[in-house]
Amino acid sequence: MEFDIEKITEIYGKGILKELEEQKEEWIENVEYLKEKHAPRIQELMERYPYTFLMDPILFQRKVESLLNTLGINAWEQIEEEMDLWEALDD
Amino acid sequence: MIDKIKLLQILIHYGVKLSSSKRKQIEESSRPEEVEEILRYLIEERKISSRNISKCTSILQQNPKSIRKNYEFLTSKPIHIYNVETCLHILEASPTDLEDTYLYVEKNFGLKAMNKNTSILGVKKSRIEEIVYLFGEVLEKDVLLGAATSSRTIQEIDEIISICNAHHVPITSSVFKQIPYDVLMDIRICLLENIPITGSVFHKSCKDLKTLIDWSKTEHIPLTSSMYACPLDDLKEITKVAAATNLDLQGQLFRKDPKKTEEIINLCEELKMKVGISILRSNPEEIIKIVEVCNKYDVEICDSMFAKDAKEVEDIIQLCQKEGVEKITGCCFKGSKEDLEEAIKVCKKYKMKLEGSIFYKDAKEIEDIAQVCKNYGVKIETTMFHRTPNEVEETILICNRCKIPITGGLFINPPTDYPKIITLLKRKKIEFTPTAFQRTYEELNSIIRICEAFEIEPCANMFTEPPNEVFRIIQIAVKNKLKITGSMFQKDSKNFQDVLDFTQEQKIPLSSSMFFRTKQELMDMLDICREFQIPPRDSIWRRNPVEFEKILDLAKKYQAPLSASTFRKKPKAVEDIIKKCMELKIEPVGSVFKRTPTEIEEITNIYQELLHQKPTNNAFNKKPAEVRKLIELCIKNDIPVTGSIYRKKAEDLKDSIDFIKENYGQKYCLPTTIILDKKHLAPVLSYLQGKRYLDTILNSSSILRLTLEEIIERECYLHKMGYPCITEQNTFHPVFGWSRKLFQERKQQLENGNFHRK
Repeated sequence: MEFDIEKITEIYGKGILKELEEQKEEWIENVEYLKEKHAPRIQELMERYPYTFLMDPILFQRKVESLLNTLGINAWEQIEEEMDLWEALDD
Repeated sequence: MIDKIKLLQILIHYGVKLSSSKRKQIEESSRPEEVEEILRYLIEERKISSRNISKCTSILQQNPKSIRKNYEFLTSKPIHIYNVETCLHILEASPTDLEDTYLYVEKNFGLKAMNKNTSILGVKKSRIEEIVYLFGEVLEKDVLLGAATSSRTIQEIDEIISICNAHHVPITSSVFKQIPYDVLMDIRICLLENIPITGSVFHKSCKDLKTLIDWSKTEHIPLTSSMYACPLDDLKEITKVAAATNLDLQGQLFRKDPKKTEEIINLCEELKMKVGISILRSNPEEIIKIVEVCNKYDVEICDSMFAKDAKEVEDIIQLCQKEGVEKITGCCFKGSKEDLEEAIKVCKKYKMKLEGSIFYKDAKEIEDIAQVCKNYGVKIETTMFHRTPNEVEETILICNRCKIPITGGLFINPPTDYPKIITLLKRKKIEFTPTAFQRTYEELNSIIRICEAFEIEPCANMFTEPPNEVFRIIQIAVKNKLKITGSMFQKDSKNFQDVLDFTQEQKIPLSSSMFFRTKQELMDMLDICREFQIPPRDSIWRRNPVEFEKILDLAKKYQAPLSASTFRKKPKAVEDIIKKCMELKIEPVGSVFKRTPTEIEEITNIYQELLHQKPTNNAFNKKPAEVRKLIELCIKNDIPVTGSIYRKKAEDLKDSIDFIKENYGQKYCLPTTIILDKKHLAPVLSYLQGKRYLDTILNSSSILRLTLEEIIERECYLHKMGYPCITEQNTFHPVFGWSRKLFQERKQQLENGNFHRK
C-alpha cells in the first residue's frame, strides 16, 4: 500500500517521518489488521490520522473494535462519510 | 619426628596433596601440632587454597609464629595478597628479613614491580643490594629483580650478562634460569637453527633445547614460546590430545601437563565452554569452582576469569555488584581486585558510568583519558578505553578540525588512517559516518568503488564488513532483486544468503531484522512462533531464540499481552517493566516498553501530580522530562492533554501554540490544531479567517487535516451545489469529512449532472 508521505509531512511536519520509521512494525501491522477488517480508505485514514496508526497493535485493535461496535453494522460507511470519527481512537 | 599416619590425617583433613618424598621430609623435620597450626592458619583463617600449599610444602617445615607474623605484615601493606598466596615460600623468610626486603624493594623498585615479582620478597635484602650495586647500570629494574630471585651466584650473573652482550641478545629475567654454559650453548643452537632468541628459550638447558628442536622438526610442529617451558614428554602428550580434539596448537596448551590439559579440554566440552587462553592456565577444580561462583551471582563466564582463582573471582564479582558495575565483563578480571578498586575510584571521581569495558585500562590510564576528555569538553565514551590517552586525544583533535561530532565508534580503531579517510569521504561526497573508521583507508576505498560499480549509495553498515563481503552481499541482493539496505550488512554474505533461502523455503516475507540472526536461529524461532501461533513480526527477529523464549515465558507468567513492543528489549528488561506496570496498575503493553521502570514510575507520578489521573499509553513515548514539559505546556495554555501531543517535541508543539495564539488567539489552541505543522496551519487558518470560517474550527476542526487545495476544491463543490460551507449548527459541512473517493464520486456525479441534494 502506498501512502502520500509528502502530504503527511506537509500537514504534520517532518518529525513524523522519524516516528513512522521507528514504529514501522506497528503501523504495518495495524494496516494489515484493517485490511482483514475490509476497511475502506485505509490509505486516506493513514494520511489524515497517522498518529493513530503508530500505537501498539493490541491497543489499536481494541480501539478499532470499540469504535466499530459503537458505530454499528454500517460502521465503515459512516467513517467514509465522516472521516473525523476516526479521531475517537486518540486518547 | 612426626608420626606419618598423623601427618597423613592432617594433610587429608586440609586437602593438601604431597608426594611421598616430600611427606618424608616433613615427617623428619616437623612436629604435628606445628604442621597443623600452619595449615589451620593458612587454610581456615586466611582462606588460602590447599593447592597453593601443595606447591610449596617447605612452608610446613617453618615456625608457625613466623608464618603468621609475615602474613600479617604483608596484609598490612598495599601488596596484592593474591600474589602472596601463589608465592607462599616468601613466608618462610624470617620476619626481620621479610620486612627489610619489602621496604627496600618498595622504596627502590616500587609497588608495581613488587606485585609483578612477588618472589623477590623471599630474597635477602643484602643479595638484592649487591646485585643492584653491581649490575644496576646494565640491567633493567625488573630484570634485576629476576636475577636476584634466581639461584645464580654473582659471578654467574656477571658471566651471563657478558655472554648476552657479546651475542646481542636482550637480557630478560629468564636468562638467569640456566648456568652460563647453557646460556651460551642455547644461543649458539638458536643461531644455528635459525630460531628467534627470545627469553623463553632459556627455560631449557642446551641438551633439552636440542632434543626439543629435533622433535619439532620430526613432527613438523612449529615451535612457539610456551613450548620451551614444557617437558618434552608432556609436549608429545598435549599435541596428541589437541589433535584428537581438533584444537589449534595454541601456546597456552603447553603451559600445563598433558593430563591436566586433557582434563580441562574435556571439562570445557562437558560444560559447553570454549577452550580459551586463560582457561588452559587454570586447573579443573578451580574451573568448576569459578563456574559455580558465576552461577551463584548470575554472571556470564568469560575466559579471563580463569587467570584467577575462584576466591578472587568471587571477590571481584562482589566488588562489581557492590559498586554497581553495569555489566561484568572479562575486563573486570584483567587486574587484581585492588586494581579494580582503584579504577572504580577514578571512575567515580569523574562521574563515569561503571561499565565493564572501562576496566580494560588501569586507574592511571582511565584518569589520563578522563582528563583528556575534560580538557576538550568531550563526553567520555567507553570505546575510548580501547585506545591510549594519546590516541584518544589525536582522534578528538582530528574530529574537532574536521567538525565531526564525537561518538563512541570513532575510538574503535587507532586514528592513523583517519585524516585520509575523511578526505576520501569528502572527495566522494559521502556523508561522514563513524563506521567508516572501522575500516582501513584501502578497504574503505574498495567498498566505495564497489558501490560505484553497482551504482548504489554506500551506507554506514557497509563499512562494518570487509570489501569482499560487501561485494558478495551486494551481488546476492542484486541477483534477488532486493533493495540494498543497511541491515543486510549485519553479518557476512553466507549468512545473508542463508536468510534469503530461509524466507523462500518457509514462504514468509523477508524483514530487515532477520539479518541480525543466523538461519538456524530463524528456524528455531519460527518453530516456536508456529507452535504458539504468534505472528512472525519484524521485532521478534531482533531477539535470539533464547531471549525470544524467555519473553514468551514472561508473557505467560505475568499474563501480559504479546505485541511488537514486547520484543524490543531483552528478557530481564521486559520482566522489570512488566513488574513495574503491575505495581503501578498500568497495562504492560505498547509504549511502556520504550521506557525503563524508573521512567515509568516517574511518568505515572507526573500524571498524578499534574493531571490527577493515570497516564495514557502514549505518554510513555517520551521520557519523563519531556512528558512534564508537554503537559505543562498544555496546562499553561488551557489545552486538554491528548495522546497525540506525545508524537511531537515540546519545542515544535510550543511553536504551533505560539503561532496560533499570536495570530489567531488562544481559543484556537485545541488538541487537534496544535499537533499540526505550523507551515500547514499558516495558509489554511489564514484562508479560513479570510472566509470568516475560523470560529467554526472550535466546533469541528477536522477540516484542518485537509490541504488548502482540498479545502478549496470542496468549497467549490459546495458552491456549485448551492450549499453553505457552514451548517446551522456552526459546524463545517459534512463534505469536508468525506473520504477522497466519496468526494470524487459525488463531484463526478455533479459534473455528469446526476447530483442530488443531501
